[in-house]
Amino acid sequence: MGTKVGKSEEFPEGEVRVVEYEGRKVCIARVEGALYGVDNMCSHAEAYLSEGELYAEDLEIECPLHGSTFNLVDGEPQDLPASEPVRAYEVVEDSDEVEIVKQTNDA
Amino acid sequence: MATQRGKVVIVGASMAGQSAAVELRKQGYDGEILMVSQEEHLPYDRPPLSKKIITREWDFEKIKLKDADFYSENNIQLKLGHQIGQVDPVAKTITTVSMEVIGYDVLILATGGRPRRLDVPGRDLDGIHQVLEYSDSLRVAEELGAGAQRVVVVGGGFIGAEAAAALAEHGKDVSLIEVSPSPMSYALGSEVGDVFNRIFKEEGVTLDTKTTIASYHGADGRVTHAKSFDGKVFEADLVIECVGILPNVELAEAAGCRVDNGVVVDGFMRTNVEDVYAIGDIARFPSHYADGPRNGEATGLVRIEHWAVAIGHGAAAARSICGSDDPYDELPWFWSDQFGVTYNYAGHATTWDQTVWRGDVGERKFSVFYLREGRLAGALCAGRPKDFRAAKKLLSDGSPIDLEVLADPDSDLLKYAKSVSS
Ligand SMILES: Cc1cc2nc3c(=O)[nH]c(=O)nc-3n(C[C@H](O)[C@H](O)[C@H](O)COP(=O)(O)OP(=O)(O)OC[C@H]3O[C@@H](n4cnc5c(N)ncnc54)[C@H](O)[C@@H]3O)c2cc1C
Ligand code: FES
Repeated sequence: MGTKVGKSEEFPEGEVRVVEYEGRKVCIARVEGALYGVDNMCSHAEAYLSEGELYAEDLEIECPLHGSTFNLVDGEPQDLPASEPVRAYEVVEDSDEVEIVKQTNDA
Repeated sequence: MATQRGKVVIVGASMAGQSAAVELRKQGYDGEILMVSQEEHLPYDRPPLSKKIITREWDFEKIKLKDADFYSENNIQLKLGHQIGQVDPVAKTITTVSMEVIGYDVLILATGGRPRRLDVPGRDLDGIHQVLEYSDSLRVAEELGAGAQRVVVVGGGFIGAEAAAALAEHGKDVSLIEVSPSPMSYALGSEVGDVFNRIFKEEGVTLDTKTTIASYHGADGRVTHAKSFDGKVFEADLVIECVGILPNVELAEAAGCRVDNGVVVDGFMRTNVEDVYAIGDIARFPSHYADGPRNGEATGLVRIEHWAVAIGHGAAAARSICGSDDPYDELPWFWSDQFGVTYNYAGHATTWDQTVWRGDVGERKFSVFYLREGRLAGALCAGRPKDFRAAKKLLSDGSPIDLEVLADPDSDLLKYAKSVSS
């Protein structure tokens, strides 16, 4: 079904991990048990979202460079300077295996 | 009022103009849109001009806002390489310098600024550049690539400081000459300026302050050195002059718009001339943040030369043309990238009575909060994203702030900002 990218225990609550998927770096965050995946590279200049802040209660991740935040569900930027979404992915867990199923937006 | 089906003509196809065009289509505007630019290039992102373009890390592909297809797909006409020289607000036409007449129903002026130049002997020598346009920055990049090693940057505002930092990081021998006591102190104050004095020296930049260049000298028509007013000589293979921007307000003036340190507009980016809007660096607009802390409904007029403001203006003008009553009312903010650190600033503090510092200045992870009468008027944050997020919230809410919480290095400012927000 999906592409295996790691074991469940490698994705602790409230943290962000980077995995490889179809040749791209994807950051996966666990918030209240659920897993969310978005592209690691910011859509503005060049910075890794995994190195920024995770705002779990808002389901957002923030670029460490100029501070655009991206929604973890649809990859949409919530503020400037980024204006394009990053790719968002459906991430599932199947008996301890974490898998990326597919891209869910058209970024 | 503006018609839904009329022709919108935008002069200037940069941050503000492009934002207006894109937002018009987003709002469902289906009339004609024409964007005219005197630059030959497709619309591009300006901030990299003082950073990754001069260091040759990025090329034009990286900074163009959209592919050519985008404009045809969205039915936005681009007229590149044409300068507009005249405007007739009665006949509703603009005229290019080659005398082509273009009619409009709505005119948006987004003409930005041109570089101010030092009026000193030797200013026309080869090798003295600005970095306000892609073609300028490209020339700088080419000369640096061809071996220019000693660079004199004149002016330590944001653009000059960025250029100096980027080139020092890339192994060039950089001198930075700033007329005030420290780089960026004009905007950020002398305390923060002192921090930048230290940073530039630590990074090996030859920094000279409280003076400026009195003359340029050269051989065979090309600059070889610059002399400051106190007689110091700065060897130069290349000079970058960054001594400010003069807003291009001539067209607005010719149209009969009120011009007073910028084109005066209302919250909907409308000038006093019917169907003429002004946006971006040229616009002097009402802002709740004009005089420091957001304070009830009081507004003052400001002109702000920042990227996010230009984008916001473009969108606001487009909304207004489409009949919305949602004015421009955004918190002004900007970033500046220097030596691998991003400095984020929000607000528009021109005066303050107190600053509160958090974090570690030596590590270049710190925040400075500018306060006036117990309210936050502005904040500068480096490497402290949560502080910046908190600052934006506190600034937009405008609530009085608990100094103890702000000064306590262990307090969670973001939590505090959320708790006091209405
Ligand atoms: C080198 C540099 C670095 C910057 N870095 C940052 C940064 O890091 N962060 C930040 O927040 N802001 C930054 N800024 C500021 C930001 O880029 C500007 O605020 C923004 O570009 C303003 O947009 P604008 O559309 O109003 O004007 P501009 O970008 O100046 O564009 C105006 C356009 O209109 C054209 N034009 C003018 N007159 C005519 C005419 N008569 N006919 C036809 N065309 C005309 C000009 O050629 C130009 O292309 C930087 C600016 C520069 C120059
Ligand atoms: S690189 Fe992410 S916001 Fe600029």
